[in-house]
Amino acid sequence: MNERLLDVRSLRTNFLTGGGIVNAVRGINFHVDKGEFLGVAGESGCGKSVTMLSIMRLLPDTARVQSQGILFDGVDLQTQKMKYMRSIQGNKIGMIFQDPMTCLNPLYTIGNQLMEPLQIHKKLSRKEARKRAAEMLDLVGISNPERRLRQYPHEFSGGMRQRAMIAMAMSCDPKLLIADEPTTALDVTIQAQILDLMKNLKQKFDTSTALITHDLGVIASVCTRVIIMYGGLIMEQGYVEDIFYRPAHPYTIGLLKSVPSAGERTQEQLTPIPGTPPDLMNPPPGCPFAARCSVAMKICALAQPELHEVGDNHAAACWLNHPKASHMKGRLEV
Amino acid sequence: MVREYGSIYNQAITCSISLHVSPHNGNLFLMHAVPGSPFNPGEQKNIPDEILEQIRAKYGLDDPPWKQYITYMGNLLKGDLGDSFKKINYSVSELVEGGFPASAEVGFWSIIISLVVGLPLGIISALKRGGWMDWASMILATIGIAVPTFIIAMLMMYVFSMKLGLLPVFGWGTWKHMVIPVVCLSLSPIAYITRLMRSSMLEVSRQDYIRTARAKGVSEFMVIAKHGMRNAILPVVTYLGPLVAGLLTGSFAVERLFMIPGLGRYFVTAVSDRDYSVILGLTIFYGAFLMACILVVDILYAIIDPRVRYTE
Amino acid sequence: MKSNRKKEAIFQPVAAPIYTLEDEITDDSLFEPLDDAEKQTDVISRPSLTYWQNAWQKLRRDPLAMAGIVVIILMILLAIFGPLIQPYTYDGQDYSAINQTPNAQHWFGTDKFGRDLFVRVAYGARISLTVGFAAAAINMVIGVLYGGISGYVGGSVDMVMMRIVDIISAIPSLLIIILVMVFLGANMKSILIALCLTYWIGTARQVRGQILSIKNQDFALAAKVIGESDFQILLRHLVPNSMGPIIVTVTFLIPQAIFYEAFLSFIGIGISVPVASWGTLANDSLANMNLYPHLMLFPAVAISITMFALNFIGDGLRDALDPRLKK
Repeated sequence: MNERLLDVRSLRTNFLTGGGIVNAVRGINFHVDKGEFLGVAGESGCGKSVTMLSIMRLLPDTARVQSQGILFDGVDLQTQKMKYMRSIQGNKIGMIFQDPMTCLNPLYTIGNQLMEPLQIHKKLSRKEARKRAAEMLDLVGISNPERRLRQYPHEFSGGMRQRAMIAMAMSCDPKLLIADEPTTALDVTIQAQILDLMKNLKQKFDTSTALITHDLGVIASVCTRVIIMYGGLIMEQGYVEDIFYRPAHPYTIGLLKSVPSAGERTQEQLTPIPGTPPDLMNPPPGCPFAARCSVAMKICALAQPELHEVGDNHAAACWLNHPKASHMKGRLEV
Repeated sequence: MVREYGSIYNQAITCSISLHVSPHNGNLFLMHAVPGSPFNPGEQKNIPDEILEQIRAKYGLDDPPWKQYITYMGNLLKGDLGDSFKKINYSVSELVEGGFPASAEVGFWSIIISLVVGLPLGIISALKRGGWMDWASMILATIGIAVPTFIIAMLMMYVFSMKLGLLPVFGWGTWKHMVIPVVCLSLSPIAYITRLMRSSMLEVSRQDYIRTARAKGVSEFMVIAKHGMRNAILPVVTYLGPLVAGLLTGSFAVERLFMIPGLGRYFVTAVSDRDYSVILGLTIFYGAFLMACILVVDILYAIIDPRVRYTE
Repeated sequence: MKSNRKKEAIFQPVAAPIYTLEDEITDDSLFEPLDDAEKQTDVISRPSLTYWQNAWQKLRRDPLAMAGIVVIILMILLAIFGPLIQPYTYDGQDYSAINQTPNAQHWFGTDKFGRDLFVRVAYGARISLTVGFAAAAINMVIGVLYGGISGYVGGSVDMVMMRIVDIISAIPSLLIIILVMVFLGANMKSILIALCLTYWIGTARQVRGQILSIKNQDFALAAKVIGESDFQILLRHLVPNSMGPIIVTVTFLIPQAIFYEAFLSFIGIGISVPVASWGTLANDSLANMNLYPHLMLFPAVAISITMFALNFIGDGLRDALDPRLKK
């Protein structure tokens, strides 16, 4: 078994809103191994971003987080003070966000913002930090880094800003890189470049990476292991090959069917999943997917099944895995 | 919140055109259209006709309008705003020189105090949303916006000067004379700045780059001081132009009320005396001064926000 | 208030699931397919409200705005009936009853000419409210027409019209107002004219911006496709769609106009004596403020609560009608 870098146990995150309490993450267990490229997939609002922000303690003060442990590198982050968290943020855990247009402060130069984590965590002098920042820009494929450091975010294109964000997140040589939809806001051609870059950097520095995306195509191209989330819960997890070729949860199957596959000349139509995700203000007692599931059974509306091993390192939370549900399995179109 | 922004150059031109066209012509038109003049024989029966003739000739009032206009513009280019009709032996420029220092002193301290009080109040309100400081500063802000300056000035004069005897009732000279005028004048700007800063601070704290800064491990203080405040202060900078204009309005009432020998009082007196050359001269002076302020604000904005530096 | 809440309070304890995958479940019927009817789908239970209904609901829940509306209604009643319920006129002098403090005959007391202050304050309410509402109404009409034409016609017409607006707005409005007052003489009509020369600028800019943004949206295009004329589109689609923000702007014009009237009267170039406006009353009280503070107090309170009320209504309307502007 691989060494675990991050181990999250029974994580729950609630938001206090004017209308009531939103149960955004409802008790999930997962881990990131050292040197692994983990993908977290699901529709928007399924709790994937909130999960990562909960771990990083970056949620607004309306959020409440509860868990039985968030072990990072042997330390339970849950019990640590904010001061300790700050020494982790940007240092041992780097983070990249979705929209590079809004994630950089428009009033400071790229250099200023790139040097910030280096000066805070590595205690580098301005000069050293500047040198290192230039190296990082060079590393993420931005030419003429010395000049670029003096420019402002609005002088960068979207793809370049995301490269700068990656440089910033990687500058302190983190053990874990969390990338929250890093390619969603970018053009398709730029997406591929950014993914390539992330893959290369991961190989070069052996940084463990958790990539959040709603795009299964992105996961297929870079990840080794996948977690599929829905309604604040993990529906299925396993290696990429297992998930893509032997999906064991109707939701995963639905997701796969709704991905257009380029290149292959397939006759099959895209099948969207009907309906909308559940209201997390009042989550259903049973499986959150039951209402949209083509093979839902009566029990699905009553109780949420736990994750159940269906293969080596492959688990799904579905009543179809119960011995008595074998008659329904045939109806599942893979 | 990117401001719609023409180049500074362009703006300066618009300013100077409007400065040229409107007040001058308006005033000159006014001088001929208004019933009653400073030397109207109907009002001042004791002035013999031949003296009136002399006066009219001295001020060039018998010349045709176009000639008056050209003479005036010519003098203006030399920095001469003409003479007062009412205050004998006073030129308008002398009035400006005499009145400006007092007005500027009151105005300067008002701006300083409104910034020094308003900005922290707004920031604290935003950070401790729903706390008692938030409520207190919102109440203060509402009072400052709703109650006219002259009402506050009157009430403060009554309470602090007349009843409590803490401060002089009116006059000019010591710092004590300045306390009430400055407080009155800064109350409404404090209100606006607090509201503006609070809302823009709240807006900024929701921005993605604040989250990015936190994700880098930047300390909470630096997140607010470096990444939050500089962005949040931009709307306040934009407000500084109107702020100066607002102080001007306030100064008319406050200088009159407290007998401060400033431009505002001269202007109000000139308006009720129909002292046209003073009205005209001071209007031009005010207009030029305000536009200079707006220009300074625009430059300040460009210093803070790099995005407007390079735009067309 | 948020931090006081116990952390645990919002987490319901996790109930043990009724069934798990390891259980021997005897009831076979549980594994029958779920009917569509049993599937929990999102039911939108809230009734759908129109824009105006929604706005009214929000406004009704805003205590400050509602209090403001009540105060303004009372103020209007005072303005209409105040001078009628007392046997005095605003300029009727009575030298046998000068400088009286509030009493049964003269509720607010009398001034140095023995004029009844209650009637004068009520008369001041007439002037202030008339100026406020009239200026706001006139400016709304001018602003909507000017901005609407500029935004809808576009092109060089728009350019010229907006340049004019730029030039007017570059001159401090107070100077324009004072110059006009000098020119036209000190009365209510000239205050209105002076305010109308400058105050429509904001409305016009706003309407133009709204029209421009809506013009490019799909429903305006759709209306054009089905053959509506430009004017019909403007009237039927654009104006109602931009009405909310315009109303908010205009609401804030009312207290501003009232302020300017009082201010001009206070510095002696607005409404002239013996006509009573709140500004002139405040100005009159200055001479004997130390001896007869009530002369200052009543007009000061009247103008202050009116300004508070109008600002609260404006804030409430802004929150209700224009959520984007909510601060």
